[in-house]
Amino acid sequence: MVESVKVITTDIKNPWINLALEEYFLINQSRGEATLFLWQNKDTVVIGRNQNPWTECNLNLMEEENIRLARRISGGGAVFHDDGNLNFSFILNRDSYNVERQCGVIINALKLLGIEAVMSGRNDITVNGSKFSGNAFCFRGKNGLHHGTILVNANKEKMARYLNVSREKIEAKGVSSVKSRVINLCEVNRELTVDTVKKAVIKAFEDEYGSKGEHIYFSCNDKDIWPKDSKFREIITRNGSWEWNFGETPDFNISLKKRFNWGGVEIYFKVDNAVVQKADVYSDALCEEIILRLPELFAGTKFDGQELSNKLLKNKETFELEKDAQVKEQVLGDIASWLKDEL
Amino acid sequence: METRPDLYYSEEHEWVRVEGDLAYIGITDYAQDSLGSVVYVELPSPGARIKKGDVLGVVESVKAASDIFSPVSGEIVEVNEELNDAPELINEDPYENHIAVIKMEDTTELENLMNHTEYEEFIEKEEV
Repeated sequence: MVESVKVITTDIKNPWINLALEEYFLINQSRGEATLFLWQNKDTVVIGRNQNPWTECNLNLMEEENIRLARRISGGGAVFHDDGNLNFSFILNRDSYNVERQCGVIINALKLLGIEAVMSGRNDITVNGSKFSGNAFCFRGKNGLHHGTILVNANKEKMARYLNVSREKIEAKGVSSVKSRVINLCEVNRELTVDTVKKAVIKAFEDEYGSKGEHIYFSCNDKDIWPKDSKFREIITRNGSWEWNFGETPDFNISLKKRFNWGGVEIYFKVDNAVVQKADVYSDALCEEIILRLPELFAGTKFDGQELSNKLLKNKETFELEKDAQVKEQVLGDIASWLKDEL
Repeated sequence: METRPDLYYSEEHEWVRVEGDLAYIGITDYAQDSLGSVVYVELPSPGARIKKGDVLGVVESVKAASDIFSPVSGEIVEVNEELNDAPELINEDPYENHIAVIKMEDTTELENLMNHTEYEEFIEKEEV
């Protein structure tokens, strides 16, 4: 039974802090409480708990364009968040958790704005057959988290660019994203803004769970009211870490192939917990002594372009370069910069 | 919902089967039923030490991702690799498909767990 209602909003746009707030609320939710948290992120790709960032998003492009990567604790697929997208989180005790009822809040909110939306399958809410809201779920102890996106006027062109990647060279376990046709709510009603949708969701939530809601606002300028608990700081640190966003990737194999003017190279990486477990390297180039040493250098290295590249360059003096020094140096340099650019 | 008399149960809906100082750990029929079709199981690393209450793995279903908490402390001596390729085994038979085996450091930790009748009562209370 829901006895008390909390509505939390924020102007924080950092995905790692917002996801930490959400997880913190999930862990600390009291018995009888229902929480609605509304938040936005600055340009971020958010992947599901058991996804592979190398197969789900265009990491090179994201780095070039300063797009953050975040891993969330719930299941499901990859999404893009920007200023035109509103995120909602429902946190409920498991005995009052009901996906249909929670989705009903979003559907009722849109009804208040004159838009007819429906649930589609378990994860989507659609309007005119196109998806504007993707939903994901997580259970923790006695509480459930149901969160989702609402596309109001998000940049669909960016979304498509960061989330489209060629996956044929990767054999991966874990969870893959499902592509859907998406729609911004402003395509249905041009007047809509994130702010009007936000107000409607709060109204619909309070109508559903009782209107005596406590409103809490987390401002990025007023850290005094942020949770003081060290657990909260810990979650933020984890959320921003390589070990979480990349390291938590289910094991996978990836093959890379490139032709240089001195010959072709193929590398097969077996990657466990985002660390190279094994590398097989094949080449028709003449400098065998370099190619043969690559597997041992790569093994145990983080699966990261910069790290793999550094590993080669730092070990340059251990290669016997006296004979054909120039060619060999070029081979090493070429492979190093290829890995850096490719990964 | 099926329970088995020879197992211990946690409030987080894990079961434990004890063989000497080894604890076989899985999720209960109630847990798999409320999660729905399992699509991925993240297994721990064999050899790792784990404390009671630490995250042992993650079960992701079509409905939700759910952490599995270790009901006992010790060393992970085996994981059920079959789940890598066939996570649906958890739905098919949750009690025959364990997630990991832990060599227990302190068997008195088992005293904090429930037996099958206590667990059945616990689920009933949760359902209300």
